Amino acid sequence: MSRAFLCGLALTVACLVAGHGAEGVAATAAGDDVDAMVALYNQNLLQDKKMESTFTAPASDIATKVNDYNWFTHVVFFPFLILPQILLLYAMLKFRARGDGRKPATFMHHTKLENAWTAIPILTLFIVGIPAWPLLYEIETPRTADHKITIRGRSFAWDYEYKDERIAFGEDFGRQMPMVVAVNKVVSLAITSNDVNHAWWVPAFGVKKDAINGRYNHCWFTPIRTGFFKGNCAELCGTGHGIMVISALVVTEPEYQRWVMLQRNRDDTLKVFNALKVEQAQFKPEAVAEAVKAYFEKGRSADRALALRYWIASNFQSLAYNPPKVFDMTPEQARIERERHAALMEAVPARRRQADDMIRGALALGDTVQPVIAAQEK
Amino acid sequence: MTATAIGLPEIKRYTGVMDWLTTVDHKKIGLLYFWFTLTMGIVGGFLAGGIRLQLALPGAVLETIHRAHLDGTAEPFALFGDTDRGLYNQFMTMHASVMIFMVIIPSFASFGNYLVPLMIGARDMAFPKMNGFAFWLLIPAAMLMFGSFFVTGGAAQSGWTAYPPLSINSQGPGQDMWILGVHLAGLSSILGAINFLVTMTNMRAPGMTWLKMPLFCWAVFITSILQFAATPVLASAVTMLLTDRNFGTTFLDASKGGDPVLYQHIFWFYSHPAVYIMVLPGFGAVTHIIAAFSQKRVFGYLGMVLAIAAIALLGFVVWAHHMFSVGMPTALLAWFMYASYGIGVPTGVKIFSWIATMWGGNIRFTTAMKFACGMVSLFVLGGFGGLILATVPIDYSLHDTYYVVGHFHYTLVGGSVMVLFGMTYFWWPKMTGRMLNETVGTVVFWFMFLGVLITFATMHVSGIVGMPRRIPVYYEDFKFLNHITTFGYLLTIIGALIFFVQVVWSMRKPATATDDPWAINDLQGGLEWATSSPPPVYNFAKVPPIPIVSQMPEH
Repeated sequence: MSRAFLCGLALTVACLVAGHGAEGVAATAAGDDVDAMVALYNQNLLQDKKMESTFTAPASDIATKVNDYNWFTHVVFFPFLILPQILLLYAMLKFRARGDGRKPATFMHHTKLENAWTAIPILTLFIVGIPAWPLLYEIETPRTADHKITIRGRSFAWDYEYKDERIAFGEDFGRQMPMVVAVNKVVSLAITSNDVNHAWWVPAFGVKKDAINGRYNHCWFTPIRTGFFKGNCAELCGTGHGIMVISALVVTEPEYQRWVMLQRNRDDTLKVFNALKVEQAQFKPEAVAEAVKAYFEKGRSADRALALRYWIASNFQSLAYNPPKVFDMTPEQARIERERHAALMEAVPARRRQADDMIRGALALGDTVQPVIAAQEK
Repeated sequence: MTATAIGLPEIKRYTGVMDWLTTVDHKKIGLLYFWFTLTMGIVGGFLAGGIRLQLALPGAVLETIHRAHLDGTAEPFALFGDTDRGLYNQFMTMHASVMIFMVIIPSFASFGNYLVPLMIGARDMAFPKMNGFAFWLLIPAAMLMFGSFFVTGGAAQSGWTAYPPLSINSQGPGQDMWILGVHLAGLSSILGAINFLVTMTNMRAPGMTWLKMPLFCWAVFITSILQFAATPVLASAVTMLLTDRNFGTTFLDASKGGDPVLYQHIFWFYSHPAVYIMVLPGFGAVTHIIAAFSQKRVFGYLGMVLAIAAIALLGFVVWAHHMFSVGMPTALLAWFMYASYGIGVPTGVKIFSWIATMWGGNIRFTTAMKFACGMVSLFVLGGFGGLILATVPIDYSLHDTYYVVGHFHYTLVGGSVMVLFGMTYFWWPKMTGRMLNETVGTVVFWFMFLGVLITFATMHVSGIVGMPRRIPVYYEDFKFLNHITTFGYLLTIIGALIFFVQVVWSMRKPATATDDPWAINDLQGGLEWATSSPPPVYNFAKVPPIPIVSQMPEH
């Protein structure tokens, strides 16, 4: 009775969780809520996001196995950590000189004991070492991958290349873009470097390989939950080693497909964005309209319209997250620079509206975006 | 009877400073080594202080810097700000280089020089002049290393491991000066090792058979074999760096047919044995301290000797466990994992033997004994971390994190430096005739022990939660842990400074220590206690019957 109840409860919870997840996917995947997409794909690495590691919150199959094995190792080795400490403490307390004229013992060897503390550690090492073998070979043997990603380290950023999807990206407006993969898909990485040694490491995934010029290091993992994971370069690579951040975004399959679509259309959107972001005084709607028109002349589809809107919003957000570095400027220069940036940021909502109108108009009207501009100018 | 009276040419004798500059007496050279390493240790400690200070300031938190960026406020305060990250790397590189090449390795040469001839009943080292030469090589080595702070581009900033291509790409002569400094320090180390090997092979007093040799001598002997065999390999590695940097060779340049990983293999082929060079003499010495103050003889002498030899031997075949993430064939990974496990066995033998030496004893907790017990305790912790790190699947998540930093500091500071402090308290009366105050010593011990425990335990945790090493800035997640670590550092450096002052201060007092200040010689039979404190230039007027007490049990 109670068992059935528990099963029912579990099912209900599972349905609720699954339903919640599915709902989220449906909302973002079907809809064209650009802001939600920006919030997902263009997350700020330095937002309030907890660091997750193999040992605190594993997020891949390998990390889970390593974490389990790590517990096993600790349990088996624990006596060898704690026993000497206890014996030492006991000996220190028990055999303290108390000035009672006690004669110290005179034994100098004990063959059985010596054999035991040689043999027992060896046995323990076998207990720990034997399961390490299949785990090691599992980690090291390449899998048939769903995502084949080439990662190139350079001082001080990471470039990602998805061969099958034909997309490549790296830093964007001075921000390191996250590597995006779909949950429960095998991710295979080929890691190399353009210059000095780096190491690619997202702690939650439990894999780390050096990025070395002249060779490709392979590793693979399967992310088991969605989320945004952060990491850092793990091999000293010079002055920027500490700020050579890494991030990875694990999303659902539909979200991943949409991200791929966005990435593929990314390059064409830049001209529109460049037309949008100029100083307030020099802002020319005609130039934007021209760029939008050119963009749609290359191909007209709902996807491309979405991509254009997404990238405009996303790029503005990147700019907001990456204001000009004023630390080594004179106070006067810094003030001017900050004001310029603030003015630009203030204009962002209006710019996005203008761009959206033009894009919608361009889609609705077919060949020309001229009437939309006219409407704007009234 | 003077030399001229028996027809020998008069030898010019200096006094004062000139005496110290020209001495070839192993005891004076040992003391020179001691003062040199003590000074360098304090300097290296302050370099670490720069690192710890940076990591405790708000300007080290990426999120704080980011918020300051967004708000347009001033850069948060940091020792090494946005434009000084290179200087941070210099501090980090030089902290490691100084502590390894200028402090720990030569400090065992210090005690080795002073004690080994006394312990084996010799009147000096086999090559006294080479002995002096080996010490004086360290001075230009140190000058090169520290001088490099003042040249264009600053000191070396590619870590003490100096991995190419970073070390080849770096600008300025700092890296070259580092390389030459390592060459000189390495040469000093090789010459010292040859001297120890020859001395112990040929100059043992009659009756001092191999298996009657005290364990410290055994440890120095085996360490010398490691130094003699491995240090030239380091020289070859850094020579490749030097010629790649300056003479256009391409040993390590992947774009021209070289291989940067080659350097790592050669480097660690030296530097893994080097970690045993840094800890094995301490293993030997701590045995003396434990046996002396437990008022017992060493438990399992032969096992101890064999364990040291086994560690040294295995130390040559495990180097690649420092570079698991570099990309190696799986079979090699497996080999280096299991071989590294193997080192745990002889180390365990030593740990258990030390405890067995204490067992049933009548333990006097002098400062030296406190340091010895502290060392055993901390070394167990360090060794445990070593086993975890040796496991490749786990190591992928810990490699190049603060877990590694915590691990090797537990073994090097908790292991070697704690013993060095203990050795100083134990043998200082013999070396200078001055006793070190036990109360002050106890204060030093607790500062050091708690400092080391706190500093490096929190480093382990930082590594587990994902903090990479060698970074001047970090995610906010690690802020709290780094504050604790810096607090631990403060305890450690306070302890070290009190120790420094105490040792310097002790020289102002008259040399009043007795020949056997700890009253242990009846049991231990160490020849060093059979002569005066400090010993005369000739060590023994008449070599005493050897050995007074054998450490080898009669089977």
